Parts: sequence; C-alpha cells; structure tokens
Amino acid sequence: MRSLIDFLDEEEFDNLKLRLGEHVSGSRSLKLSVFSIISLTNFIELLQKEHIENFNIIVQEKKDYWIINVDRVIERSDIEGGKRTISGVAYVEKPAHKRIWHIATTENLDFQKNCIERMISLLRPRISRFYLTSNEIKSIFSRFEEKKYSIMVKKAILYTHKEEGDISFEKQPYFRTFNEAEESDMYVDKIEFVIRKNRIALHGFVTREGISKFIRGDVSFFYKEFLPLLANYGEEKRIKLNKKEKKLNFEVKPLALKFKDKIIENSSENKRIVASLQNLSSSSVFIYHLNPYLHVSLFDFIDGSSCDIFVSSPDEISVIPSYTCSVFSLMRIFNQLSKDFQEGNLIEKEKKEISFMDFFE
Amino acid sequence: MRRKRKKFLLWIFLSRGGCIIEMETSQECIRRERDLVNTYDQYVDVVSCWEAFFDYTYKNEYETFFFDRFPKITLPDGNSLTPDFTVYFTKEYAMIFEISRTFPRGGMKLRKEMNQLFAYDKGIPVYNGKNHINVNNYDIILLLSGIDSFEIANRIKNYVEEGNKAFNHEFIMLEYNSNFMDRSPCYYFRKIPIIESSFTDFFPDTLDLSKQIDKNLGSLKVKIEYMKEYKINGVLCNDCPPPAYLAGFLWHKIFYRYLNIEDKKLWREKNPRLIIPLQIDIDDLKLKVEKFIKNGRIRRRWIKDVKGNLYPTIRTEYKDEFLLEKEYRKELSRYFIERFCSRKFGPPNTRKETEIQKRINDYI
Repeated sequence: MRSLIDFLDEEEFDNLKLRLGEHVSGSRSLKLSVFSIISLTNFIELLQKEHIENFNIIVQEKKDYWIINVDRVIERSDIEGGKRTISGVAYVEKPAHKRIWHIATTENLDFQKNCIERMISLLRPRISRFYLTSNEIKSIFSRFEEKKYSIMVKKAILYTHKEEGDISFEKQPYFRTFNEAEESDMYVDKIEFVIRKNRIALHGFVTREGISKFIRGDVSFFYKEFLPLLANYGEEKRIKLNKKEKKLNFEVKPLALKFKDKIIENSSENKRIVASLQNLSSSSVFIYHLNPYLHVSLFDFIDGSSCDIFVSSPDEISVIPSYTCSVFSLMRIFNQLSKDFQEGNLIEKEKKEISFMDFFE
Repeated sequence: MRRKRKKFLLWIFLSRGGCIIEMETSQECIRRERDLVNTYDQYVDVVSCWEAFFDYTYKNEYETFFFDRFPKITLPDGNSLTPDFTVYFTKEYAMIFEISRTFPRGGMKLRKEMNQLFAYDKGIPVYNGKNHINVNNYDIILLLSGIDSFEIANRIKNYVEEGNKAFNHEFIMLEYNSNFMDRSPCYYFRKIPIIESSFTDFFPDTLDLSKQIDKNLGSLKVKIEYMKEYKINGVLCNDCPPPAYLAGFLWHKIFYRYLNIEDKKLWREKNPRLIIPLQIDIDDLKLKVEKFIKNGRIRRRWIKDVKGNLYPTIRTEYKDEFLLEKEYRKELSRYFIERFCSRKFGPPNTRKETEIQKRINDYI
C-alpha cells in the first residue's frame, strides 16, 4: 500500500492534495485525518525550536506547505524489548487563518494518538485544540444545504451531559440527528457524513474536538469548503478567548457561556456545574460560595492559568480570567462546561452602565 | 467583625449523675472550619457589595473618593482601630463601617464591643489613599446580619440608654440579607429604625442616600452580577481569614509565580505525588498577595497563620518553607480543612467517612 510518503516529491500543496485525494478515495482503509489546532505563534517555528523529549521531529519546507517527519520512542517495561518506536509523516499547509493550523496525515491510529496528539499535548499551552458545539457542526452542514447540497449522516455518536454515549447508525438527513440530540438533551461528539450534489462531494467525519477526516470525494472541496468553515469557529473562539487576562490596573474581561433558556433554576444545577469543573483533568477547584449563587476559583495545573467562575443568572455561567489565563486553559474550561453541563454560546461580557437608582429599584 | 476560634469545644453532658466529657472530633472540626470559611466569604461579599455600590455611583462624583477595604487607624496612644471598611469622599465627609454577624448579649464582651464602636466616634482620621485625614464629619454604620438584627439593635439601644451614652456622629444600623430566590440574586441592606439617626445630608439630590434609606426606608439592593468583579479584586476583608480561605487563594493565584521554568515543566507532568519545596520569604509573599488585591494592605500574621496551620514544614532547617504539594484534590477548601483537622485530631475514624467527604453533594 502506498502511503503519504510516496507523494512527498510534490512541491505545491494543490498537487499533493489532488494526488492524495485520489489515492484515499480509491482505498477502503485509508483516511486523511486532519487535526486542526490554534497556535498563537508560528507552529512550524515552534516545532523546530522546541525539544520534545523522546521525539525526533524533522521539518522539511516545500513551496506552500511543510512535511513533518515524526519519530517517537516509547520506553516502558510492559513493552516487549522495553521500548518501541512509532514513525510517520504529516504535512501542514501554510495557514489561511494565521492562527489556525491543520496537521494532516494518512498514517494509522497509533501514529495519530501516540505521535500527533501527544505532540500537541506536550506543546500546550502554546498550542491549543478547539472545540465545536453541536450547533456549530450543524451550521457547517446548513451552509452546504443553502448551496443545494444534500447532507446525510451515516453514523453519529451523541452523548448526554452525564457522559452516557449513544451511537446512532441510522442513515438520515443531518438535521434529524441534530434535532434528536437537542430533544434528548445530548451533544454531538462525532459524526460521519456524506455531502453530495449529483455526486459525492465529501464523505467525511468530524469530531467536536476539531478532528476531521476525508474518506472519499473531492479533496479540494474538503480543503477549500469544509475545513475553512471549521477553522472559522476555532478562530472565532480564539479571538474571544485571547488576551482576556486581568490587567495590572485590575480591569477584568469577563466571558460567559450563555444559554438559550433559563436552565440554572435551582441549587442542584450549581452542584452539577461544580461537578463538571471537577471533572476537568489536571485542575483544582476551590468553592467560595456554592449556594444559592456560585463562586468557584479554578486553577489549571498545566500552565498555571486561573480564573473565577460565577453563576448569578439562570441563563449563564460567567468566567472571569485572572492575571494568568491562557486561551488553551479557557478553551478547556468552556469545552468541559459545554460537555458536562450544557452547550451554550461563548460570549464576551460588556460592563454595564449602572445608575444610582438601579440599586434601589 | 469578630471571629472566634476555640481550640477545643468542650461539651459537658450530665447524665444520671455521671459526667461525660466530649471533646471536639475531627468531623466537628471540619464542620466548624467550613462554617468559618462560609462566614468569612459572606463578609467578603458584604464589603464587595458596598464597594460596588460606591464605585458605580459616587466614585466619578468625587475626585478624592477612596474606598479602604483594609483600614488601620493608629491612634495617638499607639493603639490602632480596624473598622471593616471606610469610605472617604472629601475632607468634609466620610463613612466608617463595621460588620457584625453576632453580638455579645451582655457583660464584659458587650462592653468591649460597644467600646470599639464608641472609639470610632472619637474624631478618628480616615484614609484617602495617601494619608489619614481628619474629616469634618463622618457617619458610623453598623451592618448587622438580618438573622437577629432587631434583637441586636435593641441590645445596643439599651446599652446606650442605660449608660446615658450618646454617639457624637450619626450612628446608623443597617441589616443585610440575601435574596437568592430572585432570578438575579442579590444582597440587600435596609435600615433598622431602632435608634434615631440618619445619613448626613451630604450628597446631591440625585445621589441622596439618606432619602432612599432613611426617608423612603428603601433597600439598597446589590446584585451579585454587580458585585463579583469587586469580590475578585478585593479577595479578602479586613479580618484575619480562616487559613483554608487564604490558603486556597495562595494556591490558586500566587504560588505558581514562585516556580521556575524547570519547576513548571515538572508541574505540568501528571504526577500527583510531586512536591516542590518553595523558599518563600513571608514579607515577599505578603507583597505578592497585596499586588493581587486592589489597594491591598494585609497583615503579615495572616500569612504566618496559614503557614502555621496548613503548611507545616518537614524540613525544619528552613524557616519559611512552603511545600507546594501537587494534589489532584478536586475541592481545595475541603482538602485544606480536612488536612488541618486531621493534623489536629488524627485522620477521620473510618475509611467510609473519608470517602463520603470527597463528593460535592456532601459539601452542602
């Protein structure tokens, strides 16, 4: 079987893409997997500068993309011989959005999990994954529907906000899957879909963690039509979450997860919110006030970010970043709340004008 | 504000001629420390409500406005007074606030409490952000918890009347309550009309506090939504915080700043047993905490108290060592309290007991 490496003589990304698309479309087992990430600095420079232990990364620059050769040695006593090496190739297109980068590979899941995802994880918080809400995934499909494409879901994995999974194998129009999720108070975690107009434009796969796959169809459509929509949501979130740290003059820039309905009606919802935050890995929670209003301080072990989280309205959770609070950490928090509590809109809060009489209404 | 900590609670039950002496248990210690954290947090809330109110309404009206969250007024005899907060408007007018959740019923304790209020009445200077200024006039405001505010107010009235005493300044008693049933939870403050007094007629009509509170008997209502920013920037109030309260703040906001690049790399790794000893000078830590607090001026002993209670050093040769212990505990206040109480009383009796405590539902 030919792998990505066979195409790496191509200087231009468009040519590589076309050859890859044909190759993957013609194969039953190959998929082109794309990890979309936010990098606040030049991702390639970061890869070249940063020494990641047990990784050997060689970057090769082409005309409008880079080839990344990754080797990782895993040493563990339970592995035969005490260690194993995973190697593979990925490529990164020069980004259209300055901060959103797509890392693509046709390598197997072992390489994806143990090399690409591990590499991303070790470069945190300078790079960050981003999440897509069910509504955002739905609106990607709606955009294609507006352009007269039909979108069918082949397989979907939905979760309740208590982490109970539900896999739907029923082939159905996309809106049914999303309606079902909404009606059952679930969120869409992964979805395999087919977008077609006369012929298949894209048979693909997308997860809420920003991973997408090209399975077959028109690879240019995937790169030019699908990925930019996905990247827009990442970029939108980056802009909202970037530079929200408290200033030295004590100015704060509150953010909030705003819900469509007034869903935080009693104290048990506060408890659910705390429980959701407690599920965030590598973090610590300090409860100042639990009932009836909620005030929690959250500390992120990964990069020392911290923020205060309040619930004082039935339709929003506000997050107030402290002096150190990265995009990466905020993304984690909002993703966690969206998954374990409820999906909502991420908003930047404006300071209201409040008059003397507002205190005596 | 008063916060009392008894080293032991001694309960004596007389039963059928016998005498059973029951010492405070670890569980009771946990409950008591938790109450201290909750009470302290409510005080921080109340101070933050008033700071929010003054900041939104009067700050832009008076160039010299200053809200002092940590007042310490040194008297000529060397003693000092520490009201809960003061507000300086101009050299003509200021306010001095005291908060009380409970109040002694009588005897020496009541006298001591009242002496403190009367000490505020003796023409004391108020801090304007730069200097302590002798203002022409100020009001003294006592904020009482709504739970038994009228009873306390009557106690104060009787004390004043029986002793033929009188305040030279306006002495206003307000009760504070929380209304969390509302869709916009808030604290509200209203007058307890037991002693005849009113706010000094100092403000223009549009900002007339006296009209709203004294004449209309209205409630000053501060939504959590308005107050939260002030709580975050104020962090503490002018009283020694319970060790768990301050320890949580140090852990979440300050200690990470002491780690060097290598420490941070280690910290990032998933090793819950990791312990990084930090050499911390108490004065430097105090300075770092104060930088974090708006107009922050805290007491050195507050930090020493945390260190003594929650961070016993295992390396005695270092005088001021904190141990930054990476624990994946998911509720830090509970963790600190349990740690404090288990040091004092030994670990909780049963395994089951420990497990129960880990759940958030048991926090309520």
